[in-house]
Amino acid sequence: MEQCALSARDAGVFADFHVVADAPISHCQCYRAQENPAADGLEALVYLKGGFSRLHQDYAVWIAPETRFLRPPHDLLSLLRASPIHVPLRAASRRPSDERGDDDGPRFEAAMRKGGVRNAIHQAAPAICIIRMSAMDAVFRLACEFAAVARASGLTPSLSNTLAYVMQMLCANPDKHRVQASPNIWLPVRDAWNLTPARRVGRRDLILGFDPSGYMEGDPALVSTLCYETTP
Amino acid sequence: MTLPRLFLIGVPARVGGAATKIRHLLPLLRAAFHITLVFLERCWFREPDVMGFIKSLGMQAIFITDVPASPGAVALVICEPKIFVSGAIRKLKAKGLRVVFSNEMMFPFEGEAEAAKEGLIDKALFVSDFQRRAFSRIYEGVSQAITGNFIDPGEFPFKPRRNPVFTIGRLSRPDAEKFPHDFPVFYEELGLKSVRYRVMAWDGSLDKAFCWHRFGPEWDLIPARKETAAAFLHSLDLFVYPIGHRVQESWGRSTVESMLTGAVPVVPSGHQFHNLMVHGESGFICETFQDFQGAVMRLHDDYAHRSRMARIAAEHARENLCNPRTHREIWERALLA
Repeated sequence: MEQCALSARDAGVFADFHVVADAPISHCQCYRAQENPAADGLEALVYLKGGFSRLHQDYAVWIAPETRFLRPPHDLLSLLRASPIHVPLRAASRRPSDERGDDDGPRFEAAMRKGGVRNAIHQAAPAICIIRMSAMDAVFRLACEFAAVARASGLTPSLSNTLAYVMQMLCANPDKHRVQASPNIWLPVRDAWNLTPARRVGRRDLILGFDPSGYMEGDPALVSTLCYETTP
Repeated sequence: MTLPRLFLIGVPARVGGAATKIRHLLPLLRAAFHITLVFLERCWFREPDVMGFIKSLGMQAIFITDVPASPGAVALVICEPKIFVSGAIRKLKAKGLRVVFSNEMMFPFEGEAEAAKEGLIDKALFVSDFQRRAFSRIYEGVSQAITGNFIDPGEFPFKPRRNPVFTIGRLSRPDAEKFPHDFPVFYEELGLKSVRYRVMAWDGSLDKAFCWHRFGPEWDLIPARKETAAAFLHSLDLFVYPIGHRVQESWGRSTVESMLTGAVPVVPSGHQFHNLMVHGESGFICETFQDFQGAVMRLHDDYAHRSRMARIAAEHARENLCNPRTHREIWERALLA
């Protein structure tokens, strides 16, 4: 997380980073993490709902530690479009076991269908999650409902697939929330082992290969290993 | 000639599919039955619109406990969730009435299955085969009929329309479950440039459900009965009706009303709209958001196509779904046989 915040400072971003941690982290406002067995995999949402509401902001932006800043992400809220939440989405892998070792992918897709997702199923690339605070209750309720459906199917819901469900239930059009729909925000990365890197971007601890072909039209502000697309 | 006696347990109000169904059924059936309205709640006697309507038909309304002993008479119960747990159904049977029950929903009411098993329901009516299948276990061995749903076409005249600002909207009871979780986003993401969104009947529960959305001036959220259903539907170019995933429509009354008036329906699959319209001819039945978007944009861009489809939808609804003579025969068979 320190590297994430440092990359932000290097890029000229001076917004506060509020971090729940068990030890202090430079460049961040830290809060002591607490045991919450009831959160059961959804700790980030529990902290957002319980903690962020005390900061009296209109929007909460959760950022994964893997994310790095290349430049200040102007107009980040435009990612929301009309939706009260934005989590970058990517097409669900058609392979039985995707790159992240998610053998339960098809079963999670079935759980999402059962939970009411009608469009083609997408997975989340949760490098970032923006939530309009007035929608926090609705987001949390949907997350809990999905977690219950998943558990009833013998699955262990993760933050990633829970957010994927919530996002798809609140966005109408998932295509508009895919990584490549925002070339001015995301530098899309491909799997390092599949990639013939034409260029490389370095940010201290992180070297990522990326494919400049296809959808490198914008001036991306963020990069994350979580935001890769298997089908550009 | 003495007409057969019919006690109709239900309320002919103006909001909700079951209430409006009763409102349209009463004029249809009054030539064939001597009808008395029966209320389970006394508050309805104080509703001027309901009581005025009943009086205008020359009928009477009584409270459930005042139903006289009437051996052989029919008690038609339409979508009264409390009829079982209140014990009223048992009293109707004790007074010699033949109980005919029409649930109207896709789920059983509390006590319904037990009442069917106990023989308190003489006949079950369904609005569609889709609904009947959902109740097949409960009503195994009970006499059944599919009566469909009657809408008086005279109340929903066809009107050609071309609004200066393209208008889409929907009409349903104010129940958040009837709306998808992303409802306002769904309309706005359709991508219509200059547009007006109209929704009736909107209320505080829907304000609360969608408190996170900033409804702009293009939204017209109006309470129930602010306009007549026909006037509201006349104001729409398209009837765009995404539905919450927990709800299954047993029929689709407001959709047929929209067809009668000439508002082309764009509805989701997974219900029973395929029995109400021909996809691509008298409306669109959509799987995904992209299907909705494609249908709406096509109808928006091609006025001639929209007009043609509106006329076909209205004619289809008038001839095949809302023919009074056909419905009268169906109901007489269902209630007297």
